[in-house]
Amino acid sequence: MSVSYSAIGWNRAKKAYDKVIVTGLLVYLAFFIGVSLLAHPDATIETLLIRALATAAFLMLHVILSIGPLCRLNPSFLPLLYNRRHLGVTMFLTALAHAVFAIVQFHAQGNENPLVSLLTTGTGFQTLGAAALVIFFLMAATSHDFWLANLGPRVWKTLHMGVYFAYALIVMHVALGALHSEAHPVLAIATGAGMAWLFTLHVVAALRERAGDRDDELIDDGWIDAGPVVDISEGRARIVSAGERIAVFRYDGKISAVSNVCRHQYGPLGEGRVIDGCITCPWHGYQYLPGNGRSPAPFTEKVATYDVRVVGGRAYVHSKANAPGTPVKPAHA
Amino acid sequence: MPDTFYVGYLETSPATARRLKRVALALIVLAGAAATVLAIATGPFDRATYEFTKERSWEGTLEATPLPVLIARTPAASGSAYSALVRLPLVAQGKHGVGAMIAGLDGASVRFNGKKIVRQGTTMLEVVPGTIERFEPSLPPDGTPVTASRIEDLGSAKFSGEIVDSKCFLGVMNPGRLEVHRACAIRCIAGGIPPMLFTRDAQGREAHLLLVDANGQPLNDRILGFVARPVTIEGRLERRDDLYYLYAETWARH
Amino acid sequence: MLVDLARGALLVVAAYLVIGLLVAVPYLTFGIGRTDASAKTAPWTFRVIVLPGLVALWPWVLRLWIRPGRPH
Repeated sequence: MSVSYSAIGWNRAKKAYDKVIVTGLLVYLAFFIGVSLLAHPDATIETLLIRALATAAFLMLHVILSIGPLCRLNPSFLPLLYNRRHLGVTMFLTALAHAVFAIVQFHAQGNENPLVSLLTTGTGFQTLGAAALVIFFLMAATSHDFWLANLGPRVWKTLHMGVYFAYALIVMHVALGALHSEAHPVLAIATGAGMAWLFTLHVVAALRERAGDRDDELIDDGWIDAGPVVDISEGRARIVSAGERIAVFRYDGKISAVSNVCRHQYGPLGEGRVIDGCITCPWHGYQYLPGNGRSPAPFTEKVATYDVRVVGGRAYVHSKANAPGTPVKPAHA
Repeated sequence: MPDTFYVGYLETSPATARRLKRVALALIVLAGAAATVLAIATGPFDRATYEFTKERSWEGTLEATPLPVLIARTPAASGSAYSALVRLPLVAQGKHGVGAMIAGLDGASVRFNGKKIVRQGTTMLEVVPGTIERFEPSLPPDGTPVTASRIEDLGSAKFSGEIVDSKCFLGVMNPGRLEVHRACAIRCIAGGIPPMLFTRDAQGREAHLLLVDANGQPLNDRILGFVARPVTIEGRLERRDDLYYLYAETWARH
Repeated sequence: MLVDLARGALLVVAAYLVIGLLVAVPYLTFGIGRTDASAKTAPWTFRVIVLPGLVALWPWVLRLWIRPGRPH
């Protein structure tokens, strides 16, 4: 966007979302520590704090990793996606607090520098946790739109896919540490169930996505049949595929086609709506004018446009993309 | 057909807002429930305590070898002609042994402030720095003579268990043992906290065996790699009053 | 020996972060407005928020400063 950056771009929805995150986290910590003190009166409070923060962060990580595939399976989860970044940063801060308390508790007040102690006391599980924390830090530190713009969506997304590697490190951190010392099976069951849930979610969502990736047939010099115009709901799109996905929108008695890929975080524009004359991305609400693929002023994003025509009540889109921002005369539906 | 397309920066429709409020509430309730389950269904937490806010005054005879210990009297049991002696291993603050704090005081009568660390019959004292002083012991007020320390050689034996640092294990941390605590145990033992073998006797009762090498010297640096993992130690067992010492000859992981 | 290695590694990390600070602070003061128009008029709180990332990724920040141009 070519508007000035803010520190944190809050709006009403994000504030409400953040309130839920903080409330949930505080409720979790209060219950964990409170119930622990009742059930295990001799437990040391520092140990409880370390474990409360650890399990809270671990649970948050599962929620974060679930949001993506859940949204692909059912758009009613999209409100969770909208502010997922804040959830991620909160998870990092919780994990950081856990790490600081653990390092102080187990390594400080000794005869060695605590960080040196962390690396040399031969406990592999702690090093795995530290490595994951570095990844979470890099993700949190680059979660602002400034980084998205200056690293570019491709590099930014690759960096943030590191969350999966970090998740694997954390599972091993839990397995080699807590599970190794845990007498009760619940934590192991929960960790296993979490892995199974995430794995299943991702596989199911991936299979659904694959189904949509089959290329449509090209006819007549590169045109694709996008089907009867009446089959495209007002303000919505039909997505076709020719190497990449194309969103064919119907609005105000017209047909236009743009790239299905939003410039912001590669969201599926074809699953969006036309609102106030603008194609609106379902993920974060980025907008583009259907006639030329440009964001309305003062924004400067552009997506590729495609030539369209309507013949005999059917919409056709040409598979060759025009340069982003190229105006294309809409076809009459 | 009502369209529930969500755009975060626009006004949320009342229906969506209601649905989201219900989801938020459900998630918060779930958070509390998850916390409760995880808090209850976990272990082990041992019965061990540390009076970290309470300084008490202690007196007795200091013994520096094989390990720093305060030999103190307990009040005479009714009908007994002698006061019994109890041994309280000593440590300093943090992950440190008493070391220099007791230099030159071996065999002396001392008085100091300390914090009690107790687990199943073994009491340890964390000495408050700057409070150790010699004093002249007077006859016990009730007139009973002071007994001498009783040292029994119990012969060679083999024990399996876990090497822990005595301070955390006896109550400063809970659980002060196992893998999650291993790094801390290594740090404590490296800093001079007496290592201890945590094992169980034939009846399943806990036994705490303070570890020194075959010559009664500290073996802290040599056993760091064996801490918090299942281990078997062979050596000579000795009982001094109510405390057990294991003069370790060999040790191996299993 | 392991302790020496660990100490050495921590020194390298510390040096990296110090250099990061030495790059990030001038960049925030002078450079950021030139390389990113949206950052020029941003409030100081924005600069605080991007500082950790600038410190951690300072080699890339240098590259951006020397050769500005938005990647796509």
